[in-house]
Amino acid sequence: MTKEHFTIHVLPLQNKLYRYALSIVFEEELAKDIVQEVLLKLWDQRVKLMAVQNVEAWSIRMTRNLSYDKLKASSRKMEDIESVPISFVANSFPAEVTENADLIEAVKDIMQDLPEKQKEIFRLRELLGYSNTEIEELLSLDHNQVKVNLFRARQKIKSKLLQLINYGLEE
Amino acid sequence: MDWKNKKIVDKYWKAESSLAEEQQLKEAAANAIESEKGKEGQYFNALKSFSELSLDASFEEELLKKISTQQKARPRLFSYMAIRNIAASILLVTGATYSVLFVQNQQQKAIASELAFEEAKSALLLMSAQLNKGTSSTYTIRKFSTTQQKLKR
Repeated sequence: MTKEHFTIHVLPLQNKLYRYALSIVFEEELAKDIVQEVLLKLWDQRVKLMAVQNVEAWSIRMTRNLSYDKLKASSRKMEDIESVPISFVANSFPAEVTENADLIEAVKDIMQDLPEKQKEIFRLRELLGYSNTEIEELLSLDHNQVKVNLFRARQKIKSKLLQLINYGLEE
Repeated sequence: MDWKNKKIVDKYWKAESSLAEEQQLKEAAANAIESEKGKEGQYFNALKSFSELSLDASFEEELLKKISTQQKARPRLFSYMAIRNIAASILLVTGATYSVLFVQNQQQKAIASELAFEEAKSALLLMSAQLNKGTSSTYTIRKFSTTQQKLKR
């Protein structure tokens, strides 16, 4: 695979991979690092990549694995940080809050109570715009599993929204 | 004025809507006046905004720079994996050769000791045969001597 081929066929996936990583780690800088790592890995594996039928699905899987690895590593780091005095931790966080922080927090909140399979289907359908057929292929699930999980995820979100609406009315 | 198409919203919650219909909902929510959106509108709006998040141009520039640097770097004759595979192959071949030679050596030793045993056995048999022959000659001489002494008397 030449650099030109890579630029035309693989690099355009960057934003999709970024949103996907972001919907797992909910941290912009970390999501960027993940996408960069994935794309560099794909470049390293360019010879092998020529034999891959669905590069997009391959990239999505790589992003998912790396995102969960980073999440695990950062949760371990957080455990270490928790043992450090509070004043030191407070000083080590950047004061600047990104402009997308509220949006990312809102999506995180929407997905919060969903079981893992529903979360995954929600990500792929609602945030990345994949069709049910594509999700079936990406997650190796059958048509019914995708449909049922998407239905359950949306029902949960709907009832959450209704609760919020009712809470607002009672106020 | 209500921003939403109730029929499509119902289909959405039942997971029966198409991607195009969902896109339509999100567009309508995004274009609605903030006060008319409600929680549902905010939800669709959040989904639309998230779906539009993208990396800035500097990301791609930096990545391509890294790729070019990697390409310019002196090409390695053997990658780590290749070296590992070669080392494993050498180990395997050496191990196999040593095993074959060891087995052959043991077999040769066994054959040699068997030959030595056979030779020693035949030598002992020959010695035994000669001893037997000697014994019978001694008996004849002794008989001859006894007869000679009898005649002298």
